[in-house]
Amino acid sequence: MMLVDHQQAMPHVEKLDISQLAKQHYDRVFRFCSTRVGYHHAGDAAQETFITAQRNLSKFRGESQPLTWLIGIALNECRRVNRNNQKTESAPDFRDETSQEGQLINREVLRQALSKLSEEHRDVVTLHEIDGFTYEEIAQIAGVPVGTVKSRLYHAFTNLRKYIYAPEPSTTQEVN
Amino acid sequence: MENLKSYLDGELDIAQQAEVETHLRNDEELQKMVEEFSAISSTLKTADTGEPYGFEKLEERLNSAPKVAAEDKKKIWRLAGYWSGSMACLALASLLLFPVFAQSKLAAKKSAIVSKIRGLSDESFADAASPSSESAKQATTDGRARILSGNSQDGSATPAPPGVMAGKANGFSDGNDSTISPTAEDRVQNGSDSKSDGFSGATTTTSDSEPENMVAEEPVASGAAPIKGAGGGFGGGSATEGMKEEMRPRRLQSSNSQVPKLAQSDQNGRVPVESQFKSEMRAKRDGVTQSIPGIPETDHGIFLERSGEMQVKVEDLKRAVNETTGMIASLDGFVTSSNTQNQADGGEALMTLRVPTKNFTTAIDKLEGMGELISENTGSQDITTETVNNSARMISWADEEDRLIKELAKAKNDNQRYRLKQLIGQARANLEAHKAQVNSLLERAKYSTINLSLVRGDRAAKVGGGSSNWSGDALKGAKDNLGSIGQVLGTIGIYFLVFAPIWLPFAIAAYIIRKKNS
Repeated sequence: MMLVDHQQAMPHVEKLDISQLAKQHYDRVFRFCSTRVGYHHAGDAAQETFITAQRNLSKFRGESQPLTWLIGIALNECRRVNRNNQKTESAPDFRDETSQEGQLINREVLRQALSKLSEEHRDVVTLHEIDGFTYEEIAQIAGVPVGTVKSRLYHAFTNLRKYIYAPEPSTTQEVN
Repeated sequence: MENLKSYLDGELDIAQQAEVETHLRNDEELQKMVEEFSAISSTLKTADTGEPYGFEKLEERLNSAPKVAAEDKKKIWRLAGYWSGSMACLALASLLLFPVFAQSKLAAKKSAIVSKIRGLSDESFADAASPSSESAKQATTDGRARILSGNSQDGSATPAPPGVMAGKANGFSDGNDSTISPTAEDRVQNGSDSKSDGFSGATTTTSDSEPENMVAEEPVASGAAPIKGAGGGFGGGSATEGMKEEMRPRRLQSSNSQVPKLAQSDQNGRVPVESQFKSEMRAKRDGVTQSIPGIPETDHGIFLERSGEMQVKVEDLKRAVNETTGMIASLDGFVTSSNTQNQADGGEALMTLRVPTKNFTTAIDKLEGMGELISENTGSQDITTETVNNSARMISWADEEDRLIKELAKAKNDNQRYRLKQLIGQARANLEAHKAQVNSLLERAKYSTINLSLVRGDRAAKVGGGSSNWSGDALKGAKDNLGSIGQVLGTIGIYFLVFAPIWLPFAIAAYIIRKKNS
């Protein structure tokens, strides 16, 4: 069990225990990785995320929540895994459920629509809709202002709507 | 309507929310968009990420990870930094101190060599020169003729180059002297009372009284002819006499041109050949005296030729030239050349001044006070070796000439006289050559040269402000600096290479740690 004293660098932050962090956030980190690298690679990506976090505990300044910090590491780790596997980010699988409004969206159509989004748009969509992060948290993870997150989210949904409800080639031009 | 998604997520304040709702009530397309956004969002939330796995493996990995905490790594890096810094400081200090150390070591080495040379020189003088000096003194005081037999013992009659200072005696003569000159010991032996003359095969006995008799009989001053020649060949007895008469005035004439004044005629009316000068030179060589009249010298009997170059900025060029001429004359010096260019925008006067060496410093000081000193460069050259060497050779050739003249007086036949006359001419030529060199050296030591440049106006600004060939100077400077930088970089590289055993382990350790972490 390794403890890092961050009280000098950030007096308001308690001593971080990487094992404790793993117990608390492994599941969310795993799910985050699963939506990006696929279920089979998610375990390795999640583990590497915590190993990297362990090596860089001293760099954590306490300016964000530990989970946000971990997701930031996981985001880079997933990109590395996809790069090594020479494939683009995969879209998550979806359970066969109807929406709240009772409107059924074809899961495969949604997966294809997600895969057509740019990486930046796909990130904000999954972080907000699947991982449940707030705008502020997404802004910290992505390192952009909250306004940018709002804008990206709106345009991402606009594009998804077009891909799903008006799938003609002429209308599939992504709006930035 | 970028706020639409934020509205659905509940991220808007009340005012923005009311505005969106107003739009929604009036816009069907917007209502449809809201429905579709909601459907997409709901479907996305049903994403199946699967049951997490691998936590146990993660715990194992975390527990088996290197127990090097970040703080420990920081300490390692800090330590490595201290070491690297120390090594860099050490290398820098070495770089800075090396020239000083090398210079002091070089100076010590040079000093040791000089001491060694001086020691050898003194020893050689003691070994070789003292006996000669003694005989020289005798020759000049009681008129004893010291016979330099040299190669004449073997009958070859080749005049041995005197070489008192040659070979082992002083170490600064050429190699020829050491091979053909008699050594000091030979000369001592040859200076004994009984010696074969090498011409007649008979033994010539020289006693204390004989040289005096010879001198007394020599017709140099009186014109008498006490030595009767055997006749024939060269006009009989008058041949020797005429030859002596021919020789003496020339030698006297040349002797009078010596800087040190020669002795006056002795009581028999004979002017000793180079006697005073020779004795002074011998004394100088042997360390008997520390100074010679008329010859400037510094400590330890060193002859110095001093010279200087000066540039002085003045207000009035003509007046400065006149003042300089007067000042140099007051110091017993003279102006050898003067060239003045006085123009509207400035001017320059180039003067070559000769002042007695004893007044050299005074002259420099006074010239500095004439205006604004722009540059000054003084130096001196040690000409002791050349002076003493040439004077010693001259003395020896004079002795040789004396001996040959005496041999000539006793010549039995014309062949001997002819041969001796040839040898005498040869000896005299060598004597005159060395005498001229000594005179030149003494003149150089007696008077110092100052090259003075007096500048005025714009010319002065130009001289003081920099060179007109600025591009060439800049290029040269850049080249020099490039070479210096190259030397410095090379030196640093060598130092890093030499100190590799110290810093290399740390560098390797740092590399391994870094690679392990990554």
